[in-house]
Amino acid sequence: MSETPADPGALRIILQKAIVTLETISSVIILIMMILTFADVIGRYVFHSPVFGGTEIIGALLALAIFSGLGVINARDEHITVELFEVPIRRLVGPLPYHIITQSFSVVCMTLIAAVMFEQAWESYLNNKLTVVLEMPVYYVTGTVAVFAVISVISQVAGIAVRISNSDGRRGPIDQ
Amino acid sequence: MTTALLGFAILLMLCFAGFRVGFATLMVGFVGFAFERGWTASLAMVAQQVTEDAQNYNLSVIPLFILMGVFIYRSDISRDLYDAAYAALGRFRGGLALATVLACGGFSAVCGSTLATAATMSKVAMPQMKAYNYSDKLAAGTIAAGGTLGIMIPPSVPLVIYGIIAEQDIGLLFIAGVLPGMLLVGLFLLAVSLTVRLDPDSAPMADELHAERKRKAVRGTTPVLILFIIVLGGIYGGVFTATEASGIGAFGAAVIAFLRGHLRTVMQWRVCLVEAAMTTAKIFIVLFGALVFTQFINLSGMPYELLDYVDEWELGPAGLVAFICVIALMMGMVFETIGIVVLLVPVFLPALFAMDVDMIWFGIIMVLVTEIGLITPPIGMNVFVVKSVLPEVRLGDIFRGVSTYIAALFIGLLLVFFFPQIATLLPSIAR
Repeated sequence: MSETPADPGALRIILQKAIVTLETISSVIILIMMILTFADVIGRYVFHSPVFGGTEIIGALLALAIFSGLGVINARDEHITVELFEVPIRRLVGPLPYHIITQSFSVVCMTLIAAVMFEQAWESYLNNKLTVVLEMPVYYVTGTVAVFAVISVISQVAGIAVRISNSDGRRGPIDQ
Repeated sequence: MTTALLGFAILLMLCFAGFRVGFATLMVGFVGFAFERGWTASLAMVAQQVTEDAQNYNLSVIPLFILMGVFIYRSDISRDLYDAAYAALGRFRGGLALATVLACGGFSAVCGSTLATAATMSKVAMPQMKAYNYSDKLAAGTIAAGGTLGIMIPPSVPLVIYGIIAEQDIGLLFIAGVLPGMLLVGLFLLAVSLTVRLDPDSAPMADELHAERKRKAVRGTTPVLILFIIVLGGIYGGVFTATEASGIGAFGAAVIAFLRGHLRTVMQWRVCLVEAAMTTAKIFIVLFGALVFTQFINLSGMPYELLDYVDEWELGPAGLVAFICVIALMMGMVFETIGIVVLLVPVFLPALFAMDVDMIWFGIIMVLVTEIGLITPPIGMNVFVVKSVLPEVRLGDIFRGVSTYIAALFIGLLLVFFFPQIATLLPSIAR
């Protein structure tokens, strides 16, 4: 019998694949950023010829790296927290309700970010905004960032579902 | 002011309850701003802040310096750094602990992560100190405290974040961190000497390092030293900006790792790049939250009302900075470094500017204070990292072991506070 996406096992597998893909994308972006920044500096100071539009490309890559990385961080719930009272509160409220409350809050916040990023992308598309140096449509970047932001929300929700289905909602890696 | 105080109270409650710090700050900032100006304006503000900062070229310094640190961390250079430090200081009583301090300083300078330094040095230095019957208190305490040097000695991510929030030159902040960083290394070395003088049994004399191992250690650490000099010297000499230096640093670190036999497979590259990308995402979500929260705090008028109080209480610049330090020290017991910087700095920014406080000096003071928080109870992150790597060492022993270094950090703080030139001398020359 084949597994359906509603099956926690199938969801876990899909999420693992999504995490690997997002990790690969973000790592390639970071690698390009490093090479481009290095080439830009060497080009500027050694050959008096910096990479054309280098700063603009690096800025765009930074946004893509952040939002592709966020998908993974959200799925694994690896955000920075103050853990001083987490354990007693979790015990008081109950692990599952605690997980649902804190994670729902995170989902709402991430949805807010995704929504405003989409609005930005849509606005730049409607106004046909161009970047200053490369004269590239701004929505290429804002649109991709918005898509990554939505993927982040989806991976966040999927991560919560996998954790709830597997255990008591405790934080931790879901792909190990 | 009332709205801002309410916002702060809610934010602290959310953080203490275990809500993710980045999301909590962002949501409180968003709702608070909407409370003052309406939902549409608040949505526009969040959109502008997140979009602009996510694409800010100058902020690419964060992932690239993180990447540099990851490459260095993965290149197994810690052993050579430790041996080189021991070659220099091994002839003194407590030589292994002294070498640990020096190696921590050197490793964290290029690695940039306090936690990675503490974890790595636990593995490298602890077996040596154990072999020579060093007391757990001295050995583990030295490692935990030595790890904190990473956030002062440049490149330092907390300094970058402070620079962004306070709108200060990141390159100058890095340069300003050099002398205080060296001062702290000196004070830590002094703390070790004092400890072993008072309790000689805690650190028996160890054997001298074999000549061949000394040579290997020097050979191994030379490239890292050169990279550090290029990165910092480049910024100091005005050859390149902090962002450009980060690109050079990351590339140089990759070359060093490759030459040391690492980064030879796609998988090894992937591990490093993913680690850097994930850390970047984690930091940026906190940064987005902080910048949104700052907008709300500014709009509420709280920083300006605080300015009135500062005038009324006749605190003066030094009094104001001392007051902020006390708050930061208390926050340091619970919050981690970046959390303190992003929550505290925006609130006092107008008052600090109005009082004509040197913001480069203040940045160094803030980082120094948060450094103390890394080893003070109840949440001394570095202490817990050492404990996790060395489960056989009692937590109480580590906390007792760091107490001498906490005293050293306080002395360092007082020295930088009363002699601001320690932080401002190099930037003033570089300007």
